[in-house]
Amino acid sequence: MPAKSKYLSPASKRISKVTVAVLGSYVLTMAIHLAVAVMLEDKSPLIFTTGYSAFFMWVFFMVMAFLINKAWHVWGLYSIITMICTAIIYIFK
Amino acid sequence: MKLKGLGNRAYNVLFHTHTVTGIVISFALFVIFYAGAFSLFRHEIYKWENPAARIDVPAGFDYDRAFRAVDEVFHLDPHTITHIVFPNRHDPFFKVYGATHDTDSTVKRIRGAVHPATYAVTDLSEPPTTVGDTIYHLHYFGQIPVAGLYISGFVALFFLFATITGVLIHWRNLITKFYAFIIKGKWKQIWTNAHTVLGILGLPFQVVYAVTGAFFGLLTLLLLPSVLVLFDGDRSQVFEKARPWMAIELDGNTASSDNISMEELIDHVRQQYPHYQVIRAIVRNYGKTNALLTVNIHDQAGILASGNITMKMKDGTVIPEASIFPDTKTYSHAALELIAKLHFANFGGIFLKGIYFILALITAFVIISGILIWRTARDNGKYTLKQRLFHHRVTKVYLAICLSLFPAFAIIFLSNKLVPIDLNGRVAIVNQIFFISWLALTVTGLFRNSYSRQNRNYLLIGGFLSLLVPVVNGIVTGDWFWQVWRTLPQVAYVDIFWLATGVFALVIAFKVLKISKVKDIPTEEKSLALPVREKTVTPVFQPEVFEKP
Repeated sequence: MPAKSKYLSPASKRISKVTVAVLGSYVLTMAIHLAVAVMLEDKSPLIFTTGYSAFFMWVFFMVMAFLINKAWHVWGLYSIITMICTAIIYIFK
Repeated sequence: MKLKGLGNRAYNVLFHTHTVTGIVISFALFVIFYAGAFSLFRHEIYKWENPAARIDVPAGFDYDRAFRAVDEVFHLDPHTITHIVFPNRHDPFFKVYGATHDTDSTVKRIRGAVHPATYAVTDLSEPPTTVGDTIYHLHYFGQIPVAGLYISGFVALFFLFATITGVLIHWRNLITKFYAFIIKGKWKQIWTNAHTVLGILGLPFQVVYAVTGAFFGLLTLLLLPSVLVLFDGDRSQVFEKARPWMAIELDGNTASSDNISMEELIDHVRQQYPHYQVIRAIVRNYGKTNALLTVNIHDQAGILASGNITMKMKDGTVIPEASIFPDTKTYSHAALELIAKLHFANFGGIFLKGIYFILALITAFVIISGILIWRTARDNGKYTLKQRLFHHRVTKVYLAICLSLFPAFAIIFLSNKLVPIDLNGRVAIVNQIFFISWLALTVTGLFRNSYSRQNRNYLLIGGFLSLLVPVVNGIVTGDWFWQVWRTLPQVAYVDIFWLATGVFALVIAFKVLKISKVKDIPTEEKSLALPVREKTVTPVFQPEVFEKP
């Protein structure tokens, strides 16, 4: 019944995976929310929406981080999207 | 009927994350749900807690006189935002939360309560009882300064993660599991069925609680980036959007004025909103020409049915931009209210709270069954004796922490009555009795190596203590529940709840539970009896086995 270990990442890579799953997903979630917010005229509805949407998105990215096979793929993908969002924030602000 | 499930790798990876997250947060999450279930009623039990509150508010109780009484005792600083909680059927006291200027610039927070009949003021910085509050603070680990709230927030976040991964891994058997009310077969199967069936039935409730709980715990983490990027670090701008009456700047040095009384303004609100109750108010610059009163109203029924009406106390004009009207509120205000209402369950009366209570206990059971699956699935020859002893110890400690909370809650209710009401520092004593007895009960549970025996003992202790709660309340306060159920239903219901709980726990402990004679501690023979080792399986010659339950 416990998960088959042959499918799991080796112990040494798990720290990287867990870090990107928790921290990387948080940064990515907030970057996406802010990128949308800077484009809006009235920001308050989005700020209050963040109160629930952020957690769903955060957990979604956590799940994705574990589903993608290689940790560095996740790091790469999440960094690229975060950088795109940062650029949007920088341009629109 | 089977749904299309995850692939082999995805299944095993998510299963592992579900297990690890679950076992790490389980005991903390149990405490959150168990204490949270009781916290739902923390206002309702106030009359039971405090015998001095078992009075009615006399007709014609004067809010302004009560407010002035607090001002005379504490010398309120009118410029500080002052909150008022009006008497209600659960708590007859008029409460004021404000601040006072000591000498020059030092501002001291004050909390005062006014007796509805005598207008006598008591200092609430040392409240007479805090049973409901202690349980409520335990619900978000408020006893740990600063970090407690964040810990509970992260536990809620990982609870959402565990819930979603749980649904994903059970997706394939979701429909069959929905009907799997089977309590036969091996223990592993019983725990698994209970875990999935109740987990799926309670799913909407659990998602709501995971998200709203994470919201209250991790609000700062969400707001921090928004404040830094969108509002250049000015936090107050966000809060003013949520509470528009705070956005109005008031000059503190205006002349005193003979304003319209609070009573009259509130009566005016009552006429405008006849089906609503006036719950709280915020006063700024009381007694000055620019004084403002924001009245919080609630119809106690609708999920979006609260409002805040801000009026100038000088002439009673309503300021629409500083008010939230119950029927025309914006999305932003509705979203916030929805999150809070869904969490505190104060939108459908006592019946809804009862449903919430049962769902919270079901979730607590899902957590316990999860711990037991974790342990049962690992109690075999695939693990070394050392590993299995570790699994056993973790399970034993977790179960002891969780299950001893039931007798410990009975103890806090008992000590609330047994520690004399006029004793100085009694709240600290009651809380110490609660936490020390919880610790002692946990530690004594660790000497048992049989989970069923450990569980039975907690039920026995908890059951006897529960039966004592109505007896001790009757002896100490004289309000026996069969005498006061008409006049003081809030008191009688608490007694009846504990009486029923006590009887229920004892019936289960004596009649229903079967105590296993075999100890749960792993031994060497058991380890050798199942020599199935994963390593001996050579994957090359094995057909692709679909490794799913």
